[in-house]
Amino acid sequence: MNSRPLGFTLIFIAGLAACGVPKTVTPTLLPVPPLDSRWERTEADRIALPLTAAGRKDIEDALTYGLNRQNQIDNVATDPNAKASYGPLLDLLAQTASLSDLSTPAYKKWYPGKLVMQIVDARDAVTPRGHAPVALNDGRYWWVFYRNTQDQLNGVMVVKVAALEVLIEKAR
Amino acid sequence: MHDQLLVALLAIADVRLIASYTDDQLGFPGDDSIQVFFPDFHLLSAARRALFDYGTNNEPALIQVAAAVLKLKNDAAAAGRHVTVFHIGDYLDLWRESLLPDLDPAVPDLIKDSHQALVNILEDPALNTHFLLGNHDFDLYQFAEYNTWERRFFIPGDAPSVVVMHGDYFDWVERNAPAELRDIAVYLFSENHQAGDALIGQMRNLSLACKLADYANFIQAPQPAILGALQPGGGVPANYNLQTTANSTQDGTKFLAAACQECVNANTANGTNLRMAIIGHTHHARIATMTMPNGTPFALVDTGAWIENCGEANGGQSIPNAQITALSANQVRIYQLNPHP
Repeated sequence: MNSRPLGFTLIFIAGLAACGVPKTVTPTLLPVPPLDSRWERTEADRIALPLTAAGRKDIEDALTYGLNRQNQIDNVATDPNAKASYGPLLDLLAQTASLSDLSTPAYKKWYPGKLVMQIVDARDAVTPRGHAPVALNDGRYWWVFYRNTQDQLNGVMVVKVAALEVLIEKAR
Repeated sequence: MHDQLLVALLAIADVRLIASYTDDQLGFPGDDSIQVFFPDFHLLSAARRALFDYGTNNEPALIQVAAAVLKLKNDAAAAGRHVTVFHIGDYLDLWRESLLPDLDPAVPDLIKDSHQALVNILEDPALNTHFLLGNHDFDLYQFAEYNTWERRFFIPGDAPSVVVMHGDYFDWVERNAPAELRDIAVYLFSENHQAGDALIGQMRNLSLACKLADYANFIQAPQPAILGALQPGGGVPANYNLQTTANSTQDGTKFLAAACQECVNANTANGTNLRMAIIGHTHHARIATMTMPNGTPFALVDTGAWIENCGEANGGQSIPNAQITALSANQVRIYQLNPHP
């Protein structure tokens, strides 16, 4: 997997293609976007899981300002209701969880799509192997979950990659 | 900071006031900040522009205006003041540039290659322009370079009273596509979390559904947008040339009721206090006002365009649209620029 060229691994899985049936597309690889599309600057300020009060405040700010600190500087929000609308999810993230929990209904409610197992982060000195991060989509953002060697979730980074949002294409 | 911006604009053009509107509850009480809004440009590559009788108006002046705003921002920062810049959408015109822009990231680059001076300023990180996707450049969302471009902004971010959006949503409202619109309205105005909804795909479909078959002669209207009476830019009244349902120029209140209703709905659902929508899209610069059911004043600010034409209500020659909008000290102003020769 890790030796494949990027062009071959960025494969999209096409769903149903029958006329009139929504077609969903799920990426198999998530590239971590530049700093203007993620709140986390470096690993040092990664939001720890389970969420603490400080981590929760940080993630609420991130969601309010569209994951873009320049928006925060200009006080331009993309989601002023983030604190309320994401509140139940942040409650969930305040609980201890492991990789397998991401497939339970409690998490599926928020992240209904498939788990993306390949995260390409240009900041990495080497490709993560073994207990590598995984990602899920909430319909707008990608949530990259980090895990320890026991597969317990120990960090999260939210990123925006609009081009990889799951499309519903209708016959036209 | 209205005065500083006006001084900068007067160095470039004769400036006339299209409309002004004051609301003490907009959330921008101080004179230490200004929000500047660039309207629709509809840029094309030089090769494609040659095939149309109309295009972006007076680009040299537009470059000067953009440079003046950048200088204002830099000067303001040095003095502890703040300038925030928005582009309202339809910056690039992918629809007129190419029949199939949606899969080819070279199309926006082709357009920009013909406008490097303007692009260099507008996309300068120092200006930090907050770009909105319009209907004619919606497909940019697919390309990584445009990942930060949005479909709406809320200002001030910590207690929003104003939603800033392109405005094509209201075309969809007029065409009454309720199944798609329900979720999209939530996305645009109130941003409740909708797990698993794939709204961008729906929005793109609606944009394409509202695409005209032929943009050979015009985009929004074959006739100039009627602005009402313009006045010199100095000595700006608190409220001027406001369009209401009782007293309006032709199409002066277009989208007003729909925009107000969407903000009422969002306020009811989420406890927000939206009382103004700032849009582009129609190429008709104007400020239209009405009252919300609870008595709150509401204003729709249409930032106009830098393409196609406008005119005064009492007739006369048509004027190339060349407008810029500013919000400071709880007052919105829309200026028409007639660049110096």
